[in-house]
Amino acid sequence: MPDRQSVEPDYLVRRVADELARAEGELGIVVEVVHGVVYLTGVVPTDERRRRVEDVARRICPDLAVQNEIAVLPPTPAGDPESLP
Amino acid sequence: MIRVAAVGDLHLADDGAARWREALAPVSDDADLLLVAGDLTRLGTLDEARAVAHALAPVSIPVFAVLGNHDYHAGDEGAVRAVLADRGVRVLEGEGEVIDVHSTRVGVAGSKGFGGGFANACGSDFGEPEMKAFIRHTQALAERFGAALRALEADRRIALLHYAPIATTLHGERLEIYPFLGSYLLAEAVDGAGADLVVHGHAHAGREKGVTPGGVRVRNVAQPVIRSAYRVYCLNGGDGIDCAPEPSGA
Repeated sequence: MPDRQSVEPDYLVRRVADELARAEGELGIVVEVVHGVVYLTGVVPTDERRRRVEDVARRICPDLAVQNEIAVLPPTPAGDPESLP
Repeated sequence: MIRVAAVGDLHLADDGAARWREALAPVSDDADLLLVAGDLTRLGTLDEARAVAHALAPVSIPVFAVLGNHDYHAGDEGAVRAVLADRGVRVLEGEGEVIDVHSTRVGVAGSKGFGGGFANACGSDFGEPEMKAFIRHTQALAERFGAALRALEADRRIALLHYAPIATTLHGERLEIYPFLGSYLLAEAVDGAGADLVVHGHAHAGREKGVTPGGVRVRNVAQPVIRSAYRVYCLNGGDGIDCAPEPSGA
């Protein structure tokens, strides 16, 4: 069995994404591995959620740097209503 | 005029409950009813369901909901539903209910729905048992959902889903995952029964507005799409009172 450093980036991406879905219920985070760096992008509603996503990536890819570029976007007030017939 | 507030995909856990409670507080002044289009929780646990109940506590208007795939993840969907029902949320699965709003009978029928895909790019009831089970699950839910919608004796009828009934509101999502985001069978059920509005969630990267092949307006209210805590749709009726039109370009 190959060690983690020899795993193809595409498979690492799937491992992180699968664990994010299974353990954290995060299905909308984009995971990319480029030149040995794990990039995380997407939107979550809280700082805590952002931190937990990063923790998963670090656990699955302990030998890689993790760049957390996830935005925190809490719900905003409702805008104008839409009028329908 | 009926003011319908809607949001989906709250994905609530302890860490977001207080913020959602605050964000939902004005909805009882802004709308006559609130629809929640599934994925109320993150992992479908009882603690998360209680967090949802806490967030909804200040809401005094009728609340209708369907569960989403996240609400099934822990395998406790029955208990999640019970916690929400205790809070007074009408959780619908192949069911409908009619309420009176300003002397207008407003009916809401709901289902989680499921996947399968859309015209010329969908799964079929063929092959391995697992594939048949996947498609038959969607067929069964769509059939019950359509029957519930048809059975509503109401002046205005609203369809509430988690999965998408059309592909238009998925634009922005990767094409490869469309079959996991919805099914044309749900739109066929709506068009067969007739409705004034369809609301769904699930497609976080999709867009808000679309229409079924039969001409029923569809709104994707996944919170990452609408960005706000809810959207309000005014169904204008014969009372002469209309919502103010949206600003041009909205």
